[in-house]
Amino acid sequence: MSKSKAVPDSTELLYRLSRLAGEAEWTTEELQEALCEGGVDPDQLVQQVRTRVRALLKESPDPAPQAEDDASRAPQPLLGMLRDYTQRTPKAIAQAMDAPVPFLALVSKYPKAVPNSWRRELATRAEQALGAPQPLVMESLAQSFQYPIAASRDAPYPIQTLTYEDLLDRSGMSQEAKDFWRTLAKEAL
Amino acid sequence: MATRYAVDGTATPRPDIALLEHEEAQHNAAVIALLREATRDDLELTAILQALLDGYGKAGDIAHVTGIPVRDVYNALKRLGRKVIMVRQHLQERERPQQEERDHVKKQSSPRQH
Repeated sequence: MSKSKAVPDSTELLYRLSRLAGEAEWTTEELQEALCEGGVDPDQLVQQVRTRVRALLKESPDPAPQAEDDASRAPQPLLGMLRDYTQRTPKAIAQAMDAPVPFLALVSKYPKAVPNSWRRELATRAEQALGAPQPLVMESLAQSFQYPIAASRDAPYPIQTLTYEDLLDRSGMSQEAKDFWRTLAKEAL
Repeated sequence: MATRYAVDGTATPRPDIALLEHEEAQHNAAVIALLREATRDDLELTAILQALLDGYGKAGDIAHVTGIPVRDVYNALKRLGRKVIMVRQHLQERERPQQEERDHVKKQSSPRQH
């Protein structure tokens, strides 16, 4: 056992902490949550990176602008769409909608687990708190935004079947808020 | 370049770089202080942070000195890493009005260009 330095200064300590945290194995969920907390929408980030990589690779010089155009018009994950619409950060959006960022990311990722009553509630909140049209929100929540293959993987991520309870577990919500969404889900059944 | 050399070969830090380094060190010290405050209620995180402050830089050593299994040390380090991000954001928001005030004063005190 060794101490590399008796009392590291704050800069050294933060560097060590970052290095050690980087050594740990992070699950996809954890990474996504960490990114969300840091104000980065992972889905949006991946979309932007893919678009740029495509442009850089010049896969097809002529259709590239068309593809980019299509990408900008294509439905986006809820947080990405609301961020473009409001020009606010995911954190500010989550605050306005009174729903945590991980929850807003999860409903886009696992739309099959999202009850219709949640969609309506989110659409109402988005309209009331942010002025976003309800149809835009409903469209955004109608499809999955989990990309089938990550850029550096040979095989797709395994498809996970989650329930709304799983979403609540990972949502980072208070017990009271969970109860609210749970009741809403049960009302729809 | 952080240093410049006198004729006799002795190195002296450039004042502007030294100032930036000093400011960064102050900022990081504030991050650590806030991090300690934020982890006060979590015994595991407190113990791991203390081990880091004591100079232990390997997960195995931290596990040994704290008695926390390595796997849990890594999980706690992930939590700590996320807390650092949150603390930095908090600090940034806290410092923003002061920075804006400084920028405002600087703008007003600078001579007008004709």
